[in-house]
Amino acid sequence: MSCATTSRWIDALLDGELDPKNAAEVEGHLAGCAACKQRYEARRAVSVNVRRLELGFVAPEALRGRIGAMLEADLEAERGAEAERAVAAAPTLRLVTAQVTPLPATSASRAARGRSRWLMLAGWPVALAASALLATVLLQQRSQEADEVVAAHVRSLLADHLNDVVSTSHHTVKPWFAGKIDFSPPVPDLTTLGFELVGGRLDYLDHQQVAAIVYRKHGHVINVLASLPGRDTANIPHTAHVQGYSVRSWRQAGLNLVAVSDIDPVELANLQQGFEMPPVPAGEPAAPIP
Amino acid sequence: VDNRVQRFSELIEPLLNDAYTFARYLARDPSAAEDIVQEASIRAFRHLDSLRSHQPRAWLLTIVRNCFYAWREKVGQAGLQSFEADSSTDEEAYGVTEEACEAQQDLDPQRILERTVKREAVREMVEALPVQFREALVLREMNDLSYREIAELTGMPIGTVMSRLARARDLLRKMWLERAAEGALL
Repeated sequence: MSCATTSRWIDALLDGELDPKNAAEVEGHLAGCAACKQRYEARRAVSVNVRRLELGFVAPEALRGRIGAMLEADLEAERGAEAERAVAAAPTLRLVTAQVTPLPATSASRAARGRSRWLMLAGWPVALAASALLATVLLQQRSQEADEVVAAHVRSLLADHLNDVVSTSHHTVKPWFAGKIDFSPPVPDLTTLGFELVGGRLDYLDHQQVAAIVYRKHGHVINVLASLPGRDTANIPHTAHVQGYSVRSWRQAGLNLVAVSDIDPVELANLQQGFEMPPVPAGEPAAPIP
Repeated sequence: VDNRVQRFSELIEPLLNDAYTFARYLARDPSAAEDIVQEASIRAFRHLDSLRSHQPRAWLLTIVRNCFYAWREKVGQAGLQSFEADSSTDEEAYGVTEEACEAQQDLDPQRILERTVKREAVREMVEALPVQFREALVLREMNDLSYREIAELTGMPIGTVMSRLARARDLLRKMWLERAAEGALL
């Protein structure tokens, strides 16, 4: 065995990766060649000492805590989505929703579903009678709130106050909100869906502070407003169209999210999907490794 | 669902130190490493069903690596950080090796290495390695993966893994001896 060949196998030998036959051959060469033996000892010394120093790190407790909380939120969102599907499948509710839906297009409002749940208990004949009245009331409230969302969107475009933090990196935008608002809004990387992250800012919606995450696609600006539930933003319809703008809202990880833009409503549906199940960024192998 | 939570806590949680170590050495930034591990954990959780291999460690570290490269691309695009001499090629893997060894003959390398115990200084040296060598070294010496696992994880032939590891060790040793000669580690 030549010195050149041996030097290639030195690491495999010291890492115990050689089969007995090859190991014996390399060892045989080392026994008779001082230069190769020295090379072997040099690399072995590095390996031994690096291991002796135990240069690994311990994951911070805070990180473990955050991961635990995140998984819980993820599960909760999943359960929430399942519950929504179950509710949507209930026949009574479909009837009611049909009544409640003079709103354009696909306004099977989740908020409306939440509010209408008591109707299932009442039985559908009553529900039918009540729903026309209820629909009017709900619609008025809702459009008011959707109006506010659109107003916030327009304001952000007019006042040149689109972003407080300008960055295409979700690793920059997400931490920026920390300490400024008492929740952590999702800031997914949606480049593979064609949505470019532009930045983020703080905004107000009905006197409540909200986190605005700003994306752009084909020149259209999309504001995604995230807020804690329990306020009036919960009443924004699932989809709405106001003054040529599309509004789409959903619940995710314990937050109310509402997207607004002058882009095609289909794109907002894509955006929502991206938020709920962030795609693997480009350039990475897809399956089977997530 | 509960089954998935249980699998996560049995299979993945015990590996978080490994994940964090790998992420720390790749990103060389504690808070970026946390972000990367967090992202990797949620991906692992969501795709736990696809973990069929007997090696959850290699599986998780592959996800960590994917998250690292995604992060690096983002940060690089934003121009927030430039990525240094990570460009050095594998072809150089053997050339410098020889001189590094022979120049230090009279220093009794083994003894010097054993005397130098400043952990932080050695960590910095590992971080100074170009990324492909750094990653091979960390996966082998700290995460204790086999050549085959490292090859699968990095998508490289085993021969390349071997030469990268050799190169990493020689570079590290060179730095180590240089710093030792300066008295920085004693």
